[in-house]
Amino acid sequence: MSAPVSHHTDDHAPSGFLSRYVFSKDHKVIGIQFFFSSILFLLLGGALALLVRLQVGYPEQALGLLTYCFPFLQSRIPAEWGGRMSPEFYTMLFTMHASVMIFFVIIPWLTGAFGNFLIPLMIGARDMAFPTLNMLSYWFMWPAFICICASFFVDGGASGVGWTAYPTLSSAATANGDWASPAARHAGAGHVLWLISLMFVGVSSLMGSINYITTVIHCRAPGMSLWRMPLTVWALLITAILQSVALPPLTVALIMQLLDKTAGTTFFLPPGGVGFGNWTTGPGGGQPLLWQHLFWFYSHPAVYIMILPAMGMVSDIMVAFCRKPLFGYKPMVFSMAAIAGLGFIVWGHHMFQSGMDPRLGTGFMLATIMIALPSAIKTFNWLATIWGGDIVFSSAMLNALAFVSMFIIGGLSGIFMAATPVDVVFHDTYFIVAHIHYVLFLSSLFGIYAATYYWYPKMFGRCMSENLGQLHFAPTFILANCTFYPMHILGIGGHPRRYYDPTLYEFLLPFQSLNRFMTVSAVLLGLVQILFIVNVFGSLFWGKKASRNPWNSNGLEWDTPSPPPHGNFDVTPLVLRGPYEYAVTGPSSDHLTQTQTEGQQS
Amino acid sequence: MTTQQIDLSEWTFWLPIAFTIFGIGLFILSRFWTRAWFATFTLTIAGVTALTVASPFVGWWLPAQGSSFSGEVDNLFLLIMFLTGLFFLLTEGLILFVLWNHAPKPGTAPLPIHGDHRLELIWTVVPGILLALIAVIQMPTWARMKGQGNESWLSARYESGGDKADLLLTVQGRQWEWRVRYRDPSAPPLARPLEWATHPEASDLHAVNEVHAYPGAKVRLLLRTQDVIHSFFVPELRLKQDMLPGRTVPTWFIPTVPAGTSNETRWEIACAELCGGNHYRMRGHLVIHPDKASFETWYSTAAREQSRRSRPPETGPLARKTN
Ligand SMILES: [Cu+2]
Ligand SMILES: [Cu+2]
Repeated sequence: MSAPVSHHTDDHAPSGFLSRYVFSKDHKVIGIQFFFSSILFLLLGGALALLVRLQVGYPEQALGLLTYCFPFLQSRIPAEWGGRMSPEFYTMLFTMHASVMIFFVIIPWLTGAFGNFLIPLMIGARDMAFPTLNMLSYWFMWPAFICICASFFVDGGASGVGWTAYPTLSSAATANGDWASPAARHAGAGHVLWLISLMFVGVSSLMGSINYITTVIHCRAPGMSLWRMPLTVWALLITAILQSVALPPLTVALIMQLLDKTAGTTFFLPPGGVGFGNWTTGPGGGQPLLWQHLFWFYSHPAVYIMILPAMGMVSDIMVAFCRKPLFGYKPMVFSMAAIAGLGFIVWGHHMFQSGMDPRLGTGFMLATIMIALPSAIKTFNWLATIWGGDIVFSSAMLNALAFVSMFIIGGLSGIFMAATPVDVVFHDTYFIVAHIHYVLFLSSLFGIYAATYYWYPKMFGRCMSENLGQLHFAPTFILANCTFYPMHILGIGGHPRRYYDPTLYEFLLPFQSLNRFMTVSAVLLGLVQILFIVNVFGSLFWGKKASRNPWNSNGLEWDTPSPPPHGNFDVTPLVLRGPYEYAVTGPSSDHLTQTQTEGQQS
Repeated sequence: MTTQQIDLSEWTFWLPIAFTIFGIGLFILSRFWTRAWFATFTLTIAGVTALTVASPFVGWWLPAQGSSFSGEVDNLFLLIMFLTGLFFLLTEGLILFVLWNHAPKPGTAPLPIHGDHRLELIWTVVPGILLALIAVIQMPTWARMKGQGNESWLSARYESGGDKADLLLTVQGRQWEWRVRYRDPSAPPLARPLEWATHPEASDLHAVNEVHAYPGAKVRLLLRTQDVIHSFFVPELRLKQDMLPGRTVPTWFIPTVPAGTSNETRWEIACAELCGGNHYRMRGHLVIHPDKASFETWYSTAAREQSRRSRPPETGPLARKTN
């Protein structure tokens, strides 16, 4: 096994349309497939979010014409609500918003799209280690796509038990096997489809991550030692390790809940059973708390799965646009590894109020507080990286700067919840909603935008419009803060999340104007994203043709034509140095790429 | 009081539109003014800072303090607010400074610096110490909130300990109401209060969606649920505790009211864990009587009424808007 496995693909250059673009084993095509499906689901997830905001901001507003925009809406507006959505429908909206954004947008976009596209290019490999497995990892997403989309149209509608799907709300099942739930209208067939869908996503991610780990360990070009890898590759490697360890427990938990739901097992039903009105389940043999442990054992690391790749990519983007070496390469790698390691022993911070033994809470609190440290180290290293740089205000750089400045807010707000007594107040309030959106929208998504602007020329051979990109950035940055920052204030006031009509509560009335402000901001924020969509699709046809290295960067991916051909490299690159040699006197420029010999013309 | 329909003239509607136009204006400005991006970041960060600082003055802040530990929790919150605020201002300030400068001085170039051990050490050790401080300083409060109220953090755990409580009651959540059961305060203390949570006695007083107490009373709640997970949340108490199917989860509080309060104080009880479609309507009230005597009057009246009715109250109506 001395020759890189990827060499096998040489002889199998695709010929027909189907094998080239649909059932492709080329990592670049698979990456682009993930890229486009993530964008489509971003639109769906965004639309769901706007409906959620509409309801919270204007709880008594009838939907009117909006009803006709969403086919699944029409049948779900019972007469007694006077043209408003029903509370059950509302639970479905936020459940599906979170599920779609996490499992169909952020994770596939970061690891599926960029992970696939970038890893072989950045380490100088001709393809992934297991191209067929790679193709399967994308096509395993399709059953998930179909299940999640179909779930909107089945009887009872899509899942409405929260993306956390806590039993017994989610798992309680009637005995007659028609999947209708005694606990909630939106916990029937739609929730069964939700469970199946997530299982497919999990298997897809598992195949992807095994492939990434093998590729990074096994297929690096000569000279590409581990300590010469760009941070993007380090981040994707660490993410893949996280996924391969965290996903099996989630998959098991999903299967257990599916069995509870459909086959009459009682993994999450307590010995005494539970009762709904006059109807009582039989005795159970499990614990509802077990689900929370299994679920968060995956879903806390999932937070890092959704942020680490963005951290890596943003680091690489920032050095290219401040023309300075990365500050503290090894501390950056070590802190990512520390985040990943500590990430496995902090899941209990989601369960401080769950009824878990409070002494366990103290242990999880200590680990959680400590996990803030590597994030702080990363932040300071980013600051030192841009310090004294020659900053190029490109769309990619602006989004990367937004990532850093907003990740600071998302990171710092996490310390409040880590402090157990303060978490008593903030748990399940809008403070959490604010925190998660500062990490996932204002950090991950801005990181995704930055990476899209940066690597788009390599993916499609054309540049995105800089003017349109910057026009998209300015209002997005401002409106995202208008939409999500006031949620902190709501949370401080004790505003619970997932409330259909907060104006029912006297103590929440003073906050309702903020709710309306956030709703209007969210709608505008949604509209502004059209600029990004237009830019992505329009630049495919009208974008400026891209050279090999449009940003004068150092990574190996810029050594290939844009877009790279099947097999990526003309000749196997010989790597001479790390990717961060900026601010040096290169042959023709201020930098040395990973393959240039000093004095050689690039 | 507040209109729930879309009102185009309210600031909540026109301000985001103004911000959008403002953002587009900053983009246009950036075409010929290199510091327009500095301005964009500065104004946004200044905006969120201003909102945070101004919020307490316009009533957008923590709810009133209503329990023996609420002040302690708030102080911890303010301490973390202060420390994170310092880091926020420091780091965002550095970013803004870089954006203002955005290029090395004419005639110089960026320096090829790859790192610095001393700096790494400083920004590892200093935040590390502050984080350790935050971690240690909260332990006693957590122990008091979750334990008996008087133990060290080592022995903090859920205990039944009803004998030390002035009021012992079970709150059972179900879709979508709180069913409350009081143990007769004049009855002899229980050896095993947790058992009482599942084995009612004839002298118990039943109520729906209302918990009564009086200032200074040590109230011990035994939380249960009949169907799904609910979470008993009273913002003023700084108390939130999930109810787990199949388990009894004890918690406690001592209500406090401002000195000289002569009327009943009513606080809202909210459900903080998604429990189905009407999750948001699972509202109850915590009624704090002005003193022990008026609580006892209420209790004996309610107990007499119950014995006349001779059965527990029916399901209460779902919460409705009062405004
Ligand atoms: Cu977590
Ligand atoms: Cu509830």
